[in-house]
Amino acid sequence: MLHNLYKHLNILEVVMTWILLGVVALAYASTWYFVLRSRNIIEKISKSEYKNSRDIVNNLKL
Amino acid sequence: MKENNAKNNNKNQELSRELGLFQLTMMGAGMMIGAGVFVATGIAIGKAGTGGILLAFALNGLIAIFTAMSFAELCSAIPAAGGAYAYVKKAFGGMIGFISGWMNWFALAVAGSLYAITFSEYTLHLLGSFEFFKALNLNMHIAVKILAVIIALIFIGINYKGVKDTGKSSTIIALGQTVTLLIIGFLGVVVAIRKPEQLLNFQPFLRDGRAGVLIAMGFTYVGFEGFEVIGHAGEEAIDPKKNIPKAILYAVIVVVSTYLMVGFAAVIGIANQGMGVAEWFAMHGTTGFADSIQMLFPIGGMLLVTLAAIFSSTSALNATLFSSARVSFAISRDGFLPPSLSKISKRKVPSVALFFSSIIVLVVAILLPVEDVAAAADIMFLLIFMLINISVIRIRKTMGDELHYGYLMPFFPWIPILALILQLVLAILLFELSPAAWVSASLWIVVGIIMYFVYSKSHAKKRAQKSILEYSKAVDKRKYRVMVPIRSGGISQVLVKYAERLAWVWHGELQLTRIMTIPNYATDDEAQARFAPNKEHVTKAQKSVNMDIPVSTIVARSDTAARGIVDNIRDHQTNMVVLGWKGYTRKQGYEMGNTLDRVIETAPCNIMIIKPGDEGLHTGKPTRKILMPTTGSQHSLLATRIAISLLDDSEDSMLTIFNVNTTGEAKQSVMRRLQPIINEMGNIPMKVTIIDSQDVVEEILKESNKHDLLIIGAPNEGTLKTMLFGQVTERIASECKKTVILAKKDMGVRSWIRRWIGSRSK
Repeated sequence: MLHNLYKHLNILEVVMTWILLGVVALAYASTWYFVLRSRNIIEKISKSEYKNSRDIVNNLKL
Repeated sequence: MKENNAKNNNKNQELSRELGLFQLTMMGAGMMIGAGVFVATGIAIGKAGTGGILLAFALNGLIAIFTAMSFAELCSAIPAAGGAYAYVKKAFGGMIGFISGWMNWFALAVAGSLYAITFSEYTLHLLGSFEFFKALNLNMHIAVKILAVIIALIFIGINYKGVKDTGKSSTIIALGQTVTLLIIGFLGVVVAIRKPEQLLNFQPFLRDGRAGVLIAMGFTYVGFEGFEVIGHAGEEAIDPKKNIPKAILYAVIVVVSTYLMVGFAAVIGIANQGMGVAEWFAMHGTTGFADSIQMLFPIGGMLLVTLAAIFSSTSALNATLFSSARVSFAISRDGFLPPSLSKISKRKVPSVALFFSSIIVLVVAILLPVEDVAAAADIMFLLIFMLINISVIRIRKTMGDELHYGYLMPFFPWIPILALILQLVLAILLFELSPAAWVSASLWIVVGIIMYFVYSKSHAKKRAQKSILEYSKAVDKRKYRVMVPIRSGGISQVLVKYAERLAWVWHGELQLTRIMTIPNYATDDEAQARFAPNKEHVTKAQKSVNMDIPVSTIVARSDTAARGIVDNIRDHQTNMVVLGWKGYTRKQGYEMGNTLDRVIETAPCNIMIIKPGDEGLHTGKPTRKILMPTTGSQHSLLATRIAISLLDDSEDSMLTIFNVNTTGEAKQSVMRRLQPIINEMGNIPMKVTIIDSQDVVEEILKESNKHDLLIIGAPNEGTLKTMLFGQVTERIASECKKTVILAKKDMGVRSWIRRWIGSRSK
């Protein structure tokens, strides 16, 4: 299927498209990464006794 | 038993809360999806190309998550109902606080105009499919404007009546919008599988290179704001410290995922148009999105999108009118705008604020084309979010120790800094798309600045002065001012002894300041009730001043001692603050103590810290032998000046400059480093001792036994690095039995960045 699509395009266009799709995927994955990491931080802080920024930064690995 | 009761009470309170994580997330997602995506997607594909829209959405999502993290951190710590304005005001106060509110007001009103136009465009587009409407042969440009004004007037009227926005109904609306868009996205995937040749619509991937993508990012940014509405629900949320930051972040990921699917579907839908897909979108503008979905799903696609757009735009219009009126109401209540704007009608609506917000909505909707309206809203939101990203750094630096956080972002402060830079780039690039939007945004800001200097500054200042309960000026005002914050214990008497000596030698003035720590929300009457005992402390300290120097006294209120001290240092142009330290702290994570750490980090003046010991000025004995351990740091010059001022004027007085050479450096080279300090001494009797040793602390402690007093300058520091006096200095000060004085010079412009993000201005 992809092969049929590729025959309409030159190699440079194909490579560029895949690179840019990679950037899209990377940005989207990074967004997920920050959401999941932040969720873990929220859980960690809620379970700990540390509440102010200095205590949290010093005692919990963010 | 008591504990059980408390638990039961908490449970009862929690039961009265209604909004759970899912409802909060949907509330934010609904506000974000608003109507921006319906108008902006088509235009943005025209600018960026078919693949460019995916790139723009994904990258905007990343920038949005950065700002969402800032918001989540702020909302978790400060439950404020004023949104972005409340946080920027909290961080900066003054002009920046006012301008952020001023911009927030405009941004929300302009977004309201955009939603009114979106409603109008989509409604007319739907009507355009009926024969009777075509027969009317209306001028569509004028018709769009008239209908936009009508719908705006209807919702202005509804807002005047005072509509209560309920959490449950907004959740249902938001869920409806999101599900509709996700269905469209899902249809796009189905079509791509069934007709893979449609994937060729993504060739060429970009239309106008990188610039097109960046412009599209700026243009669609309005669809990535709105998550801040979750923060307003603090009082109705279940477990808000946990759920509000989570919901903000989840809302962003739900919206980014939805947009990516919708963007994909919009591109896949186009078939056989005889031109490039991006060019087709560029030609169809705002309603191109609806037309492409119609091609994707011929049975009902148009109806589905149009109804979703109408639904979204009306609910978003209602919400933005509601919010913009409340932002202008809040600015007025803070004294920045005339009090009439904070008048509340019988129906408990800020009617005057709503009136002015409505005028902005109508004027912008009538005067500007839709692209410019969207771009103006984008620029304003980008600028406000930039301020939020600075505020999150500043609030964590200045108030982080006092606030209770439910969430702290990782990679601090790099994430808000990165977001700030990216948002600035996008805002600037929008100039290319719409100079008119930049002109109107700039005009609004300039009017805001004029308004600040003509009205707000003086009126807000009157309110700010209430934080000072009594200020008794010295009769003879001097240029050099030494401040002693008066505490309840006996250490204040010790500090006054040293401070008066410095003020006397340097022909300065002594400022005795008592900070009453009282919560922000306490009334003036409550503060006054506590005034007398606080004033007593100042009077006692004033009586202990023996030298003939001008003394001014200040009794001020603040929610924390540190902030009160720093605010008063700034307000009273203090040159040096004298603080006391007992030599240890029990508070984990602090170097010298909660208040001391904060003042040392942020005070905009020279700092002198005294740890009283067996000998020294306060014991009444003359100070004849002073030891000054130094490596030649820039703070040592201040330490030298203090040492000279404290040294007794007798024949056997001696100041020892002491250096422990740990690196085996040549003595001549060490002397070269110490030369500026030696020069500063002038004719003062002094000697220089350089000792080769690996144990700095031990050597200095040993040497200190032969002296009355130790004075140490802080080590040199980097511009951004937060550092108090360094581990070695603090160990010496802590372990030495003699009086120890630590000196830190105000680094002025060099530490400007740290000062700016790390202290609170008025």
